[in-house]
Amino acid sequence: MMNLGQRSLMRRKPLVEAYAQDIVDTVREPLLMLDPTLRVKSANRAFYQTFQVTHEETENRLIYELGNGQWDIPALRTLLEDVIPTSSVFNDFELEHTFPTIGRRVMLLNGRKLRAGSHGELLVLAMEDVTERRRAEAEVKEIETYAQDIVDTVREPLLILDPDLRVSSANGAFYQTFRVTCEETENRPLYELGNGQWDIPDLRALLDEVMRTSSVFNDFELEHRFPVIGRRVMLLNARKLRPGSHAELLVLAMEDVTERRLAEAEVKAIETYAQDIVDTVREPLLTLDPDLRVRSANRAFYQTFEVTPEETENRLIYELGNGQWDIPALRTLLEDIIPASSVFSDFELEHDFPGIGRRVMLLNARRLQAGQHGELLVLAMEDVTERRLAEAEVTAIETYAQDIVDTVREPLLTLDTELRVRSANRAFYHTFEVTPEETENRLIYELGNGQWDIPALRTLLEDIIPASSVFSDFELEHDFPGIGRRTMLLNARRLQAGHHGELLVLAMEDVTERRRAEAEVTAIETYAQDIVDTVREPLLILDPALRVRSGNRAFYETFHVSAEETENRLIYELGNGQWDIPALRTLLEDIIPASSVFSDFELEHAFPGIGRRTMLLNARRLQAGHHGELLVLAMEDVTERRLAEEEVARAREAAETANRTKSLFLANMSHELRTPLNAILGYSEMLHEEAVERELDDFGADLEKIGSAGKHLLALINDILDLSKIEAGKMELFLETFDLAGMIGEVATTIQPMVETNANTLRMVIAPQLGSMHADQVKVRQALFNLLSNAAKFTHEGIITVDARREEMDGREWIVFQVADTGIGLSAEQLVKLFQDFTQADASTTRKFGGTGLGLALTRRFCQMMGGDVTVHSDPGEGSVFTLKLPAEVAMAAAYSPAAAIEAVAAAGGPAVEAGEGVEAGASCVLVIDDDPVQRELMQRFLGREGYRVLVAAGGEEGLRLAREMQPVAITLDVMMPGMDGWAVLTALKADPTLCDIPVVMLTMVDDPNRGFTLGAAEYATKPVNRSRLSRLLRKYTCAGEDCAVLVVDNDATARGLMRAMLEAEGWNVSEAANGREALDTMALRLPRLILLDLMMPVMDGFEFTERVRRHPEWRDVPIVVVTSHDLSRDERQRLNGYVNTVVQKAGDLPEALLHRVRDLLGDSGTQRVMNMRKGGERRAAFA
Amino acid sequence: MTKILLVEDNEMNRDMLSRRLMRKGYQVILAVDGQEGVETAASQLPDLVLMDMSLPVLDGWEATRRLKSEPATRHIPVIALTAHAMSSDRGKALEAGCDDYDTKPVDLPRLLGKIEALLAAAAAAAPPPAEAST
Repeated sequence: MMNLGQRSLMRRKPLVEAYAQDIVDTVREPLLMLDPTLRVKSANRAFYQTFQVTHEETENRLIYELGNGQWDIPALRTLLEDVIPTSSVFNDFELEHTFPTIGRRVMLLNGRKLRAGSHGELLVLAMEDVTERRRAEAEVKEIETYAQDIVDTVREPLLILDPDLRVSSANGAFYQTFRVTCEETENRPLYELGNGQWDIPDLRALLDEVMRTSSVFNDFELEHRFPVIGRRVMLLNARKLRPGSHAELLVLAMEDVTERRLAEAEVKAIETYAQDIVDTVREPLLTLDPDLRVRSANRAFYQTFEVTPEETENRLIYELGNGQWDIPALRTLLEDIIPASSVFSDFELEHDFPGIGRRVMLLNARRLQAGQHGELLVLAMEDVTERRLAEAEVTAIETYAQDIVDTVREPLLTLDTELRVRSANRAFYHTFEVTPEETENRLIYELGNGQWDIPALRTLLEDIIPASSVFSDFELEHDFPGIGRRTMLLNARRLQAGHHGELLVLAMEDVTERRRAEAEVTAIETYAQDIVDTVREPLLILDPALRVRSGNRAFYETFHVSAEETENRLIYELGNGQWDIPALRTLLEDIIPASSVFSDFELEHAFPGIGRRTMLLNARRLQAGHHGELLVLAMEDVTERRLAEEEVARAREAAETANRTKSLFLANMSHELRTPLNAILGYSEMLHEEAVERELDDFGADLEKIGSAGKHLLALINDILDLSKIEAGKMELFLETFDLAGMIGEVATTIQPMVETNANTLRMVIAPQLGSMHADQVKVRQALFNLLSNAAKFTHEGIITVDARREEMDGREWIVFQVADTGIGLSAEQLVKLFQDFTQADASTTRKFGGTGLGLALTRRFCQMMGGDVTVHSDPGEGSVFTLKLPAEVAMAAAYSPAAAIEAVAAAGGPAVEAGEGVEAGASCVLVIDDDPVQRELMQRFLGREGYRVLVAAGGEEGLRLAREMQPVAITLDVMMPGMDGWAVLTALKADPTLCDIPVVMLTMVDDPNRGFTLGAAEYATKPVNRSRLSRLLRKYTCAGEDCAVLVVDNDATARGLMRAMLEAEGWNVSEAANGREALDTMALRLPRLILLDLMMPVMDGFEFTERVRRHPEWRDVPIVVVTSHDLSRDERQRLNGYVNTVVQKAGDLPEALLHRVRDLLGDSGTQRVMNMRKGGERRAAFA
Repeated sequence: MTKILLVEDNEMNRDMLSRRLMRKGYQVILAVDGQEGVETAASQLPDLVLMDMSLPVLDGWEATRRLKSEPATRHIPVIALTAHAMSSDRGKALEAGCDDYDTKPVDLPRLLGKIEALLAAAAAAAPPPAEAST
């Protein structure tokens, strides 16, 4: 279309022509004015400049001829000849041509036909060299294309918005990314895209505000939850631009940095994490840059080396902390090693750090790329000082352990989990005779030619140990090739050996010998047990607590108990406490602990099952190996033996009794015979005296005959009794010192009448200084008298010579009496029979010569008793010489006198014992109450020899005091004492509760004759007898089970009744008798175990009864308890003493016998047992 | 008349001896046991005591001792009669206080001799009983 400007230009032709021409000339565009023949009318300066042609070359030239036909362009022709003619105007006719001078050009032509007034029709050609433009446009186009290509190629979504924020275009990436189409997008307002997904406040903020002021905005970060694609972080670059001819656009380049942001976040997180690690890590960490400057260090570093960040960061490592890191080894690491190898671990560094002392550090160094931080060197340090110490210690301990292993005498094998030998100790190699080479690393079962391939071992190692880790005392018996059959005890243990891993340790102990010994012990035990079972004696084995460990068969059979009743029971609990015996307790609890062995402990006990038994026990404490300490009790039932012994004793006693009976008989006979004979002699003598006085010679002569016959009878009796006594061994010697000459003189005087009867002459030849002798004077006299009387009888009108002298022989002094006569003498045959009893040479001689015929026999006996003898020398018709030879000092051993009796008794056995001296401590003590010092001493010595400790009292008061003080086990009490006589003492004793249980033996000794007598009672009690006293009394005489028979003898029926009641309550079987005679009758029917006897009874008093009982061999042992009145009147005492006296006279004992009797009575009263025990101990020396 | 106390428990012995002594002109008083002997001696104060040694109740020695310890009876001579001839018996008797002793069976002349000797001695010594104190 025509430019308005140009129209107006045309109207103002002149001006306008000028103006036009000016314009033409000013216009920078080349202009050509062509006439209708296409000849150049004119051209403007621009044309001439542009095409570098001149005016002349151009005006009036045909356009196609211009510039050498440079305008001969078909397109132009087309334009000029085809287009313009038709259209008058043509604008923007593009023409591209290579003009000769200016090269290729793109011209935009405007062609216009115009009427240039006078000029005619002209064709104006305005040219615009749009070459550049075109080029530019092409370039722009190219660039646009390029840009568009880029835009399209760029992976980033790009949105191009126009100023109204409508999408001008978007690239493929946008469509792809946001999953939208071109149609949905182009020309749409941004905020409406994709359902307003771009309607983001931040985006608005960017586009509306930010971009308003600035043309560019980069890295606008936008995080948005896009509907389709989810939450995304977009980085936007926004740029306002002018893309050439396009209007201002806003390019929005988006980069989905979602992943990047995530990655960055992660990087950040990891960086933080890494830093945290670095800071948390306890190890000091240093990060160095390549110049070995400290980039950073962690807290651990600062703490450990006691430095601050300021002192550390950026410092050269070697400069840190006063050069404490200037360590050659570190330099080596950092400068030599690390550069080469990037990583170095476990670099060990020992250094004396100033702050912290000598430390061993393990360094890990690593060269790394720390991303944006560049290359770094990280130094991690570990202070292994303690660890090194610990390791050193571990090593030391390992060494120690290994040393132990090697020192241990037991073979040790260490296996790994596969049962290969890790190691073995020296003991193993030694024991099994193998070498380490053969052993280490070998499977255990392969060792030593499979000698360890033992099924049991496999079981242990493969089954047991895996399950239980430890197994002790696994016993293995195996025939080892090298060493033979062995029993091994294995301890196996699975253990963690630190860094050695799991190991199995096998310790072995060769117990072959031990097992053998154990087997032997078992064999011996069995053997011992067999012995125990075979032994016929009951055996009990007790443990130290006195519980029965075992008993043997004999025990069970003997005591009728079973093993169940016995084993594990306390001995005292067995069989209803039948073993709960005080004496046994004493043995087990007092004696055995002290002395380990005790033999022949006698125990008498009423066993429930088997009755009263006397057991001899041997007890022995012994060590029974692993059974510990045991007590063996072996028992021997000696009941029968004791009974037999008692039988023997009884028989002996019976014999002795018979003996005593004989003595009694003799004594009795002596007394009985002499008493009437004394009367006969006495009265006949008296009558004779009266007859003489009254000179009644016939009577006198008759009376003389009576007297003479009586004397003869007396002589006979005396001789018979003497001889009987001698034969019974009862003749005593009564030694005294007497003057020989005097004695001989007396005898001579006495014999004188007889001498004169036969008209003999008596001559005395007595040595001067004959002196005295110590002998039984009576017997010496009698012997001498006998010889002289014989001489007188058998000599007529002869000479009888008595010769007495002293001789010395064998170092001893002898007295020799010789009686020589000139009588009838004796033949050899007569001599033989001479000294025999009851022969006088022959019977006729007796009748002729009178005499008893006993004289010589007696004489000889007397001499022999005194240690001498009588001899005779005679020839028939020549007379005889009788020689008496006696020791001047008759030896004591043969003599009896109170003093001698003491000596004899003392000498009979054991050392002489003073009271309280030399007797074993703990001996029972007996109190002797006797006013006679001689008797006291006798009792003392005797009882002392018996083992008692003897206390003495001279009277009743003292006796009672001592008794209270010393509590003796028994008291001997002399009946006949002045002051408080025996009966009073007795009743006092029995009235005192502290003393009444002490048994009393009453006795009396009289000198005339030399007799003593015990009153036959084992015990005394006073009436009324109280119940408890009776109980205690009876306990001594307990009998087992059946038939405890007691005889109560008392004339008082009431008293008997009382006693019966009490006794029956104690379980006794009671018989009664009213006097001694009845009692004897009763005893004859049935023998009681005990007699309770009242003393004062008619018909036969208590003493007599007692005496009768004593004489009876079977009754002798029945204990008698005498019961007397509590208060004895004087009469009663007198009566008692009378009885005593009578009984003494009738039946007194010789002192020795008395003493034995006392001992027996003491025994009866219960003190005996102690004595027996102790005596037994002495005899058999049982104390170990 | 001289009074002799015969202490003898045996009836026949007592009878024989007392009659024989009486025939010899002595007055004889009797006691049957030691206790009685002591009491009789104290009450009757004989001139001499013949003491059998074996007596009931109180034996001869004790009786003698008592007689000899009592001022009233101390001066009375005592002859012990014992069955034994041993010197120890003699010694014992003398220890008890007997002035003499003789054996049984009694030899009357011998005994008489001893009696007379003692009586004579006693008479010669004879302070009155009241003065006999030690």
